Amino acid sequence: MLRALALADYVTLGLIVTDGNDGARRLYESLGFDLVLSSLVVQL
Amino acid sequence: MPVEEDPSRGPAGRVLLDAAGTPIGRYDHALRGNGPIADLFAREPGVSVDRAAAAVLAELRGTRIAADEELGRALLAAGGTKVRHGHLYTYDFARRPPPRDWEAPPRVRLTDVDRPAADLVDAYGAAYPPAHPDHGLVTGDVADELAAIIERGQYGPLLAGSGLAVGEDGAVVGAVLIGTLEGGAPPSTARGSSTSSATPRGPGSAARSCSARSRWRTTSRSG
Repeated sequence: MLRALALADYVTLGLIVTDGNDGARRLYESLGFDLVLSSLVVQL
Repeated sequence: MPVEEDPSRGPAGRVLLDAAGTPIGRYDHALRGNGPIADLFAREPGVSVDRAAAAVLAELRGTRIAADEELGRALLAAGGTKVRHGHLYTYDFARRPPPRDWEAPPRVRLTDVDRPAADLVDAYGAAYPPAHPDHGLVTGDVADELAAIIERGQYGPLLAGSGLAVGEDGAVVGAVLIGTLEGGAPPSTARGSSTSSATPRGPGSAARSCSARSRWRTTSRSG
């Protein structure tokens, strides 16, 4: 992911981490990603 | 309770109104998989969960909705089916310029996506074992899912930063695939908006990565 950030030629990059994947959340937060919102996806 | 276009969110923007024409919530309309999704649904300020749930249930039946956790729970209580509970992150390059160099993990090469999608199938499968939170989201046809992204441009051309991790035996052991989702710029904590993802020098971006080994943890599944 450091390579991805280094090569990016845009100003924002978004991604979603599934609840329960705490290791991924810690990784992204350590890289400088900001948590924007938590959501539930529901099929109506 | 009609749904109207909301150009302020971009071409996919929609606003859900109540019977009196009062905005209830705004979202990005898209088609994903087999049906519509109301992505990044954001209640208008002051709109309660109950009021929003009533409007959503009245107007958006058959839709997959990505709502805040409170509203999501109300929709589940009303009979909806949980698809995913996720946490949206964004990286703001303007606010936090990243280092321009990187180191590959030992015994791994980092490359551009210069291999056919079929070469990623084993790593993808290994990244989501049964105990992984995303295991249930893996489709039955991983090869086709990867080919759609890499070879058929499901999310537009792969963007800069997409890449592979290749082990000493030449096998792909991880990948970061960055593409474009409808809906404009990703939400930013700095400005508190709630759209999907975008760039000023090109289309929006969203990352999906997978890995067969612990160095690159399985991280995200966009959408």
